[in-house]
Amino acid sequence: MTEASAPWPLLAQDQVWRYFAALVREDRVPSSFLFVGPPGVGKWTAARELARALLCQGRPQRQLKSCGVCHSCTLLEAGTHPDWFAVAPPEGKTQIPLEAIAGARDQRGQQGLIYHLGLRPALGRFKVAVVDEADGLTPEAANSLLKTLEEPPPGSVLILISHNPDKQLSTIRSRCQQVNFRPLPTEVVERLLLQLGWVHQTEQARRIARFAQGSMRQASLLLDEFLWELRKQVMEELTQRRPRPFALTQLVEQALEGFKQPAQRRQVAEALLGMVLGFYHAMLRHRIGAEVEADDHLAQWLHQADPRAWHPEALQVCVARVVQAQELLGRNVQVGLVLQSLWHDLARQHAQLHRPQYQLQSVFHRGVSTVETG
Amino acid sequence: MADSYQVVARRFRPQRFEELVGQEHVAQALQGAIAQGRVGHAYLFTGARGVGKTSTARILAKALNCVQGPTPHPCGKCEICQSIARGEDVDVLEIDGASNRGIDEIRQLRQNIALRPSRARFKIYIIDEVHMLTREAFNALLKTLEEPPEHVKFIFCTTEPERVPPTVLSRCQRFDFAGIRTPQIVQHLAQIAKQEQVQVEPAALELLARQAAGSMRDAQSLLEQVLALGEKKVTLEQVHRLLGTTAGGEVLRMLQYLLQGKPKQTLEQFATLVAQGAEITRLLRQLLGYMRDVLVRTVGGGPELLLHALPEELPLVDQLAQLAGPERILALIQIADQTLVRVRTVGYAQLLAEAALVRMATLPDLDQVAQAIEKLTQVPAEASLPVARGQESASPPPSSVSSSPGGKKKLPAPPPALENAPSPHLGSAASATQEQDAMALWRRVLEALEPGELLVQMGQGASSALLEGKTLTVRFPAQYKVSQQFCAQASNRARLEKALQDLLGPGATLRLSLETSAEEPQVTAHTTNLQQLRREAFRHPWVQKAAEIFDAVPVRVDPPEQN
Repeated sequence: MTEASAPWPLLAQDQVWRYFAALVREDRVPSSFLFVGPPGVGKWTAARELARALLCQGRPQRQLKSCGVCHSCTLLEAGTHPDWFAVAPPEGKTQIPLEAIAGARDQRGQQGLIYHLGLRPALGRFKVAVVDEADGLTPEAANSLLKTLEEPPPGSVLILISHNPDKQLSTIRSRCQQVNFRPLPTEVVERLLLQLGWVHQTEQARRIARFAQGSMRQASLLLDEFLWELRKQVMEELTQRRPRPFALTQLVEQALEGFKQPAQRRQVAEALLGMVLGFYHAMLRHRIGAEVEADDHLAQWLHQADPRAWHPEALQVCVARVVQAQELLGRNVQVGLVLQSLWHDLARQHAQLHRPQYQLQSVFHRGVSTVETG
Repeated sequence: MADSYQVVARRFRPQRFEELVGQEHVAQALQGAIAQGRVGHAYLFTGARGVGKTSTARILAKALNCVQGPTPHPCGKCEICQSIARGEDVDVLEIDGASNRGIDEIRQLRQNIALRPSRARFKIYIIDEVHMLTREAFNALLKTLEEPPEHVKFIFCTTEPERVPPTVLSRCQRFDFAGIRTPQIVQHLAQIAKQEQVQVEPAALELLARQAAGSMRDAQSLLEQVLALGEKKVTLEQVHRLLGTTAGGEVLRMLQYLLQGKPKQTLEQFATLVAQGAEITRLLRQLLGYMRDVLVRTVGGGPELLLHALPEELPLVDQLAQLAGPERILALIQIADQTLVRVRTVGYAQLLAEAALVRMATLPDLDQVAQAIEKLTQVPAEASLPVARGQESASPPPSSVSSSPGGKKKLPAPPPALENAPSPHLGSAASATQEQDAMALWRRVLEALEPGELLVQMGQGASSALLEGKTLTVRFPAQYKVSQQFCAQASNRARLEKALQDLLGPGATLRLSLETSAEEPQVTAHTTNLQQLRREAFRHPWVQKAAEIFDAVPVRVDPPEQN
């Protein structure tokens, strides 16, 4: 029997798709899944596609396919399928309350995801419910899922989507089939960017893909040309022998002026820091003689820099400092403040690199002590 | 819908006390209680996920309500037993504590509790995830829980007993469910695989069982995934691919490159493994696991203490243990651990992992650093110490002149090496040994006291000692005046002297003195005299020698760390 190939948005996750296909072929579709992987790698798409196939009334027996024309497929497309139920954090929130899972207080057990999952499938054999951003389940909501996960109603399939399995209760993890989604390979991001029509030039797609961390969500942030210009300016300053923190601050402040929303400013800052990290990464590989794939600018910066100065220890300190800044951004610390102190520290660290005594210091000085990240 | 598929964990739920795996103590106690007619009215089952709490609760319910019961061996055939196994019995109410957590639900429960069971002997309330009940709900239960009607039994199950109020705990008989040992899990998995008519390599089962870390349901969930492959024969390699883990040998090879200090090869191996489908965080975690096992071997732990390495990987692990000492492994573990935390919070898994690997591979070999220090201590004897500390005090600790800010904690400045090194300003090596003996004697005196006692801590402040006949003179540095005075207090002094006499025989005396501090004011006020300390440190022969060897310039001076 030939395996159905993955629908194209799931190109890079075909190991996942093969697993689903085997489940359907062997007729052992389990009732609870935990989809795990970084944002923007196709978890939601996979949940959607799996549901489409399971619910489809026109598909051949034991094959993971959807016909696209049957009643069920049409309803799902229109978003009105009675056997499809999705829960996500309410607009503008990050948490999923107990009410969404178990029903409002006075309606406990009469509405919400658990109630819906308990109903008989209206059309076919299956009923599918998805909890998106399941890391945002409140402890109460997560606990209320346990009994359902353990002994699910017949025909029900519940999919939890998580970015970080460590944030899920161990009792939830133990009850679910964990499905791991990988970051997309760079080539796949490149291809998807072109296929989706987000960019039109191969060169540009490749450049974005390299910094996208295998995530289409990250890639979508990098579409803006302005970010690349900012990267060029910042890196040119940072690769000076004595970078000026003030100039860096000013540069980035000006660039961020166009963004009024704090969330947007944070996203831009995160993307920029990712690019700075990319430089250190390239330098690290360059330094130990590993292969580096560099664009024009990066190659130039690597070429300019004195490789002897960049001891791996020193790079580690810089990386740790940038990572710390990323963590702070993640915790909603004010963007300007985080960046300003980062530039200051990096500039000092860079300036130190070229002093001869650094060699001795770096032997004894094991990096992290000056930059302690929580 | 009868044709709906049920997962392994559900189909193989134990149905009798004898089928419980790894919880023999609980099963025996409960069976004994039933046989003797001493069944309590409230039980609390606690333990990690997937060790059998809910299953035991159902078995207990069956044992109590079985047509032939109460019996330690429920028949499993009667209508009651079967409906309990399905979780649908009218008299066994399985309540989800997480969804029915409020006071209203508990009030309702209390109202119904007075009603007699409809067909069986007892009305049994199984409240799962009981830790999620609100405080009010718990309190509403207290009176009922203390003296329930005769026909009512409560069974609470929870993974978090610490969230259950003590007033509830004290009203229940508590059973703690142990984690299940790996061999037992392996055996059970093998049985399931056999019944499912799939051949799974023993090594693959072992891997699954280890991943489950003591939870049977975790193991069963993993096995479920393996069975879903639809193969009739499952190999270790397939399981590795499924779990996103990497064969141990490959991880060990990477660790070998790390320990050999080959950053490039390490990265190449890493890239190969990632290309083969290893997930980066899992790979790091595996690496961490193997480092832990190597660490165990470097400190001489037996093979039974290994948690990650499979038995056949033992020789490889031992080989690696030859490559590095515990200090170095500990440093590597710290780096790997930090990296995992960072990857979790900010992502950039590949970058951070590679940076960490390079750092681990280039981490200076601590043994060599230790050797270098030893070499430094062989400074020519004519070099005299600029900082005089009494006439014959101990050599200054290297930290006082170290130009290694922050790094010195990890420097394995081995005390024996330093103590054996001739202190440049001492008259002869003989007097050094004598002084060491005297200090050792003083330490033994302190060991004779209660460990951790204040007096012991105070006594440890002593800097030097001298034994003349049966008189032990102990000197304290000037800044330890308080310690000296404390030890010299009549009662403390008597105890110290008594301990000394136990060691040296009657007549031994103790003298406690203070070092004269006139010529070294910077010791007491070192914060204000950093400049002076700096200058002196730079002039120190060791520092000059170090600067010469490393072609370096001293940058920073930190005041000496006490102790």
